[in-house]
Amino acid sequence: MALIPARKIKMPLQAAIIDIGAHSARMDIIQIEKNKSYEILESLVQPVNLGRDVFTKGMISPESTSLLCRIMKDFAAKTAEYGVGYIRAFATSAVREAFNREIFINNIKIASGIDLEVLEGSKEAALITMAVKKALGGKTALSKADLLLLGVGSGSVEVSLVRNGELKFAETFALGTIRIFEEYGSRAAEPERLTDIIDSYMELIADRISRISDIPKTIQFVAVGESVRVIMDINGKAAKNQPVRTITLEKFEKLFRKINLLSQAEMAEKYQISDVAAKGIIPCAWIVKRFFDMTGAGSLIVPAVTTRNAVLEDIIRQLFNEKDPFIPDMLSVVKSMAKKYCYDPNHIESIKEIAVKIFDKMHAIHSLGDRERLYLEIAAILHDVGRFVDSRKHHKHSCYLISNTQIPGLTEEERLVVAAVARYHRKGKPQASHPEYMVLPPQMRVLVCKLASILRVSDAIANSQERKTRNCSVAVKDRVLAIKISGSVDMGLEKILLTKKSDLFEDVYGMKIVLE
Amino acid sequence: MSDFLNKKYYVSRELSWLEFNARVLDEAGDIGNPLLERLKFIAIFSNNLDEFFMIRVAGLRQLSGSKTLQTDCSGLDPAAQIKAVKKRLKSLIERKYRYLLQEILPELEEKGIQIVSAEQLSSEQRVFLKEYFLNQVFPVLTPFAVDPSHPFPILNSGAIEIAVSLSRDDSGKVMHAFVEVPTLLARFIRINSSSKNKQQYVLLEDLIMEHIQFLFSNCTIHEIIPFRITRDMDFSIEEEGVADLMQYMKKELRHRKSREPIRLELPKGSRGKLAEWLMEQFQLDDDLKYNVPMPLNPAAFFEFIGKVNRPDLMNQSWPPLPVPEFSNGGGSMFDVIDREECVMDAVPFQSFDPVVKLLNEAADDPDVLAIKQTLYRVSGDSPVIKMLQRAAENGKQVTVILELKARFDEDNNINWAIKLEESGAHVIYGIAGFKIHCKALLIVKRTKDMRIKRYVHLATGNYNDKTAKLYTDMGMFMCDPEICLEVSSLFNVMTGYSSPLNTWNRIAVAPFSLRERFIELIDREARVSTRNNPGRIIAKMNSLVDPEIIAHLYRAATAGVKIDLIIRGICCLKPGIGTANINVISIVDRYLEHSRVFYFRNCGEEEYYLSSADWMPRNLDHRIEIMFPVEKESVRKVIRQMLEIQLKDKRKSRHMLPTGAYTRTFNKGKDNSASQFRTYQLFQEIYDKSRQRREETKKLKVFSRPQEI
Repeated sequence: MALIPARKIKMPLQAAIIDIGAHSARMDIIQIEKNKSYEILESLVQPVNLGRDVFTKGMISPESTSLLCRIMKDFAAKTAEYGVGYIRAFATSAVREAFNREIFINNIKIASGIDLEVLEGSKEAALITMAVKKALGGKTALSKADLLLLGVGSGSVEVSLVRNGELKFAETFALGTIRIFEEYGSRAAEPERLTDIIDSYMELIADRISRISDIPKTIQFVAVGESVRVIMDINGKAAKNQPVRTITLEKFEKLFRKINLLSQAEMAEKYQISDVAAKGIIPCAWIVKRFFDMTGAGSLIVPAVTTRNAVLEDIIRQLFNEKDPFIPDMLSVVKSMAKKYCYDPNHIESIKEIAVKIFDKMHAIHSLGDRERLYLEIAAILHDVGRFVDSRKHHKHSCYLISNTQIPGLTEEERLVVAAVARYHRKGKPQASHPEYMVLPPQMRVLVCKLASILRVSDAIANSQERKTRNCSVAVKDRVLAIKISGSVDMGLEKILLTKKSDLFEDVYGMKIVLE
Repeated sequence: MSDFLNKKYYVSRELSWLEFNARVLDEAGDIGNPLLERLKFIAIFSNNLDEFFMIRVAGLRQLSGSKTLQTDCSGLDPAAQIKAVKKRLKSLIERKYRYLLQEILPELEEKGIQIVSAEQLSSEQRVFLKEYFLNQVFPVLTPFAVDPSHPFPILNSGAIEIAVSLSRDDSGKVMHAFVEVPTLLARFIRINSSSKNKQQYVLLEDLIMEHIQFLFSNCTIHEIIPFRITRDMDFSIEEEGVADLMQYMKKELRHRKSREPIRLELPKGSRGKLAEWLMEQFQLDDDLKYNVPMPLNPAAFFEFIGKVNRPDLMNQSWPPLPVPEFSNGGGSMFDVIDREECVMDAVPFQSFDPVVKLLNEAADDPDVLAIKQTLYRVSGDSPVIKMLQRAAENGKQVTVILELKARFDEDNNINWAIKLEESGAHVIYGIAGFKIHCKALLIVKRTKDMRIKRYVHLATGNYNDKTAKLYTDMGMFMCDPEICLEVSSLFNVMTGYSSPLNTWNRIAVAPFSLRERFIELIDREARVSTRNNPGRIIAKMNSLVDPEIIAHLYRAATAGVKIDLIIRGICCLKPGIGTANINVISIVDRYLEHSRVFYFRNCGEEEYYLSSADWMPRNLDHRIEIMFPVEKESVRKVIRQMLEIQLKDKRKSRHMLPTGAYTRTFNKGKDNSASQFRTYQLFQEIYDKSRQRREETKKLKVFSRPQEI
């Protein structure tokens, strides 16, 4: 994700956030104040049909592309009316699944001058989780809460599980309120077929969650998404502008029975909503109903959170150079994942500790930042997950597993970097014949080398540390990395291991390692 | 509720419109009005009637032709409506010519202003006129012959045509020809008269008929008849198939010439072969032929009134007063709006200048980023257009939403559109399916501390400096962030940048939420009304037609709500059926009553609204309209006073009777309660008070100076 040169931007700032979803393109023009508060100056929405294109044909049609180009051009013109100094445009489910997405993004750029980024499911889930936590803030004691978060979109649903305030699970599933009709045709509207489709996804979701954690008996059920909001609006217009709304299971079921009797057109007419919104209501209500069943919750909490304002909060954090508050959640999820693959917690802890120590001491040499440090930490936690498959070639298995697992908060590219760092924690160095290495852009390959070399060194030392002592210090002096392990008796084995594993480090940094 | 949809509660829309025009005619007959004002009302009446034929009668004809038996809310089918219209028109047209020929023109003659016929001319005058004809008129005349080699020509709607029967001297065969009286030339030609204090005029068609021989040399002229046809102009645009609305409108305007004739006006007493031939050619039903006294097309008296220039025979002028808030020397327009939050301008009592001044400041202010405005009917050399052009040239984002479908003004609008586009403004020609009728101006400005601040002006009347001198309208300058935000989203819908988000709370927008909002407000009044604390609604508008609203009004009145309706034009609600709680008045005076004001008592938590919409289906369902609240107490107070003045008007207001007819007013002599006069006085007082206060503060400053030191 592009970092914003924060020092150059003055507050108050007029910014635009554009969100291209499966069925609508939206833009908010906002004014961000010095105290980080913001005000929406304009909201725009245009219906689009990317969902139908992508979920049935796998690609965005030329008609949709030209419509989106026109809309984005209008949006760009609109930003000029406010002298907008910062534009962030992102696309969610439909575009991210389209195989011609790069061409689409390029067309948008040419037509409107706007760079469109694809917001990946894992990133979207992370942002929404944070926004929900913030929105619920005072309402529930979140630090210790157990919470199931459901994000219902027209093209996908996101499911997150928080236990004791720590995120344990977050995944995106290809079950969307409108997508159902697009993938399964109009027959999906038949009640039985609709519940069959939803139930098959529910089994999948339950199975995925159960591999990470059981669902506690008392859990808060939170849902966000446009269709959920529409249902809440129908429940009571008066509370429309409240930051958090709730509905009891009983009330929800009553409401569901009521709307289930209406046709789509009747709903649109009666509740003054668009046809697309009306279409999504019944599938959404079913999904919510199934989650009520799954969680056994007595009520549903709906905070006023949208992907757009979740991204907005992310932008504000970046503008103000704030630390990513999602890092603890991300590390928590990564640990759950490692646990799933039967990791060795002691080894992980010590290798992570040493790796981070080396990373921090070498800052002047590698000049990498917090984000890169996070990649190293995650790679350290996950580097051995491949052992679950087989000890032989386990670094390759780790690479495969990591690159194919959704990690909330990491983009696909970031995940591939982490996978490659884990891949090179042992055995051969990166080579032009390694596809997992070559798939990365050149600057990312450099990053992989820098991080993997540290991880390799740490792995060599961690082995001994676990057995002998926990005290290790690191110093950098005159192009020598000096690692001192105090209280140890015999360092013979470590020295042998280190000579085997310091090769990449010496290649990358041109430094020697001395073990004392 | 369905009970109140019964036809007994409703008046036919067309007949109600005729009653409105009858009230206009009353003004022509009102001896309390100065002579030229009376003549002006004759012109207005005639012009109104022309439009009525072109649109409404034409529409009825199309309906009756299609054989579908559609009845209106009063239960009349199209044929019955045409019949009733014709019947009512007979007496109106008689009255019109009686006022004109027996009262106004003779009295004008006494005041030294005379329209003379050819026979009355002196020989000197004849010489002058012959010169004038040959130099000025003859070159632009184009006679059309009608014979087997020349098909029947396409005659312009509304123009005066001269039919000629003649025979060539060599063959002797009788032929026919037409000469159109050019609308580009003056209809009233002033001639030198014997006395200095006397003005004499000759009508252009008389001059042409007098010299008709010049057009047909070597021919013998048998008969000459002037006449006028009116054509069906009720075309609706099938927009879905129209990619370029602008091109379509241009084409449609050209086609107007050839549309179906809907009325033929012939001089009274036209008989003989030529008249018979004419009737034959047009093949019109009897009820579409009108034999009228001369002169044809009295709408042209507008030109005459301007020419004679006799202020003594006109209303004493009421110069528009400055809006006090803006004339206190308190900085820029933006500063004043910042300070006051809400400022009203009520044209034509107050000046239209603040709008122009705001645009003028915005065009040059480097902090202004964008200007958006709806333009519906724009005057010829509009200052509004000039400011917008300049703003666009200065690099501001200028968006103009121009309604090309404003009836009869299309030609005018297209020209301005091209001009604006050339200067870099973004011009949008309405949205398919909806006429844009709301009047809104939005300015986006950056403040000194780099924030965005928006300003709006919302009004009941168009951004037209000419009509702002003739139509009573109210506009509101505001900077309330919520209202500005909601107006912004309305512009996004109008420009096609966004679908409606339905997030309008402070304002209501047709066709999305305005009808529902009106009904909610009426129903709420009915709900909270009790015997001791009756509800009250005052609604002022141009026309009340919508059956659903009428039914809700009836229900509210039956529940005890006292309802006063101030409706200048059509009112399909029949007051006094089953309840005495509904009172309908109509004010027709020197200015055209045009504002839409709505008051709801709401148990003492009073609400005031202004709107661009009438209570008509076309406004509520097929147009983009806006209603906005008036929340500032000082402004509400002025509006309340205006409404009270109108309800107390005994001079120029008429009461609607349960039959759908109205009381007449013009015999009331020198009553002083005319609401437009009293409203002007009200604004005079407001202005005087503010000036006094200003002067007092100035004086205070002088005294306070020594203490400062």
